[in-house]
Amino acid sequence: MNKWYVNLWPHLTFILALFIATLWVLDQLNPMMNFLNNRIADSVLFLFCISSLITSAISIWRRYRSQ
Amino acid sequence: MINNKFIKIILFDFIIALLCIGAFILYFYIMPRKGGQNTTILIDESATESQAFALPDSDGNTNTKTRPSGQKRGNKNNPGNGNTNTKSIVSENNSLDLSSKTNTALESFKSDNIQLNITKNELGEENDKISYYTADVYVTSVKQLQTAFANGTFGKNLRETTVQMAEDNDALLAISGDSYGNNETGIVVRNGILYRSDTNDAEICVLFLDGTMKIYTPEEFDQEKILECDVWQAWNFGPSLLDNGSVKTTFQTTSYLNGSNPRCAIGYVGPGHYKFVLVDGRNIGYSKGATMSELAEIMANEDCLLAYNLDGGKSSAMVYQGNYINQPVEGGRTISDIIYFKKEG
Repeated sequence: MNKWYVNLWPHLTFILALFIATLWVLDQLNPMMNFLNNRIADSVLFLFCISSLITSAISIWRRYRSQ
Repeated sequence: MINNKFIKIILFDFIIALLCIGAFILYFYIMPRKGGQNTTILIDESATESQAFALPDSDGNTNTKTRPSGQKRGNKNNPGNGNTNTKSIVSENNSLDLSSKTNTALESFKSDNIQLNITKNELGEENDKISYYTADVYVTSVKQLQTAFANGTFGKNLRETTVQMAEDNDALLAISGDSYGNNETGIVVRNGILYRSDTNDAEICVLFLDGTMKIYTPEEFDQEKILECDVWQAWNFGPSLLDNGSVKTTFQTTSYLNGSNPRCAIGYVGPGHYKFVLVDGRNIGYSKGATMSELAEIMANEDCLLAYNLDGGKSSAMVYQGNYINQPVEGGRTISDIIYFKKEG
């Protein structure tokens, strides 16, 4: 499980999390600009969920394998 | 132990995330895109006549007379203007000393169809000074109150200055609108045409063909019923400032947006009689700007029954005969729409 595409998931999760956190802060400051309530933010949020699931699954699998 | 390679990798991810945010903002808030392919004509401007109002005589009295008007298809009984489950509300108890207000008459205009007076008002002194401009407008028909899009096109991120749009539309008086083009949601009805029908968290201001104005919360806004009632304009920004002439105690806004800023608001005095207030700001000594409650007090002091906040900050501008009446912050900026009155109605 050391292939490049397996190691990519934590980075993708990190990038998506930072992206969504930034939009959340901007949306708190100025909700009129709809930073979160749009189709791109929705899609990114869904991607983040998928990425988090895969990252978590890989992390759990690695832990059990090492045990 | 944190090593250099780890820091470099995190930094690389961080830069990628920043690039993604930059690309998102560029696409979503900067790149112009045309829209409006699916419009619905709510009012046929040439076929439907509106109610006629009389301009005030020299004593300021008005008489409303009724011209055969377009068929009323719905019932728009006042659904109320109270806040319901809004997302963020700020309460304030500040009050302005409006007794110290000084007025200077700047411009006045009267034709067969429109009468307007623009005054400059000043409140307070030194660091607390607020300067604002009031356009008191009477029209014989609500169709005199027009709106226009930047580049004459409905779309997203299409922008022009208020002066450019005023010139393009031969406007006598123009003020900045609700910046509909910053969002993908929110109802947009302009000059009787429905361009966008979905609502968001913002309150909705509707001007009907009979000259009346109403402000709805998103929960109150029954689109199907309301759009059947000869809607002439609908703006989606807010918040609502007054409740039957009284200053509201809560406003649907956030603390960040509620700071002292330049403001722009439309006020409803009665059918055919509207007031536009533009508060300058971010210029200590000339005008510090106004909070929502201060703007509401100003609108109540102008005898408005209803008042609705429009896009403020650098966007707020009032233009008369092609020239700025106010002093926009840093010369103003390009915006997506204006509200205006034509020189010849």
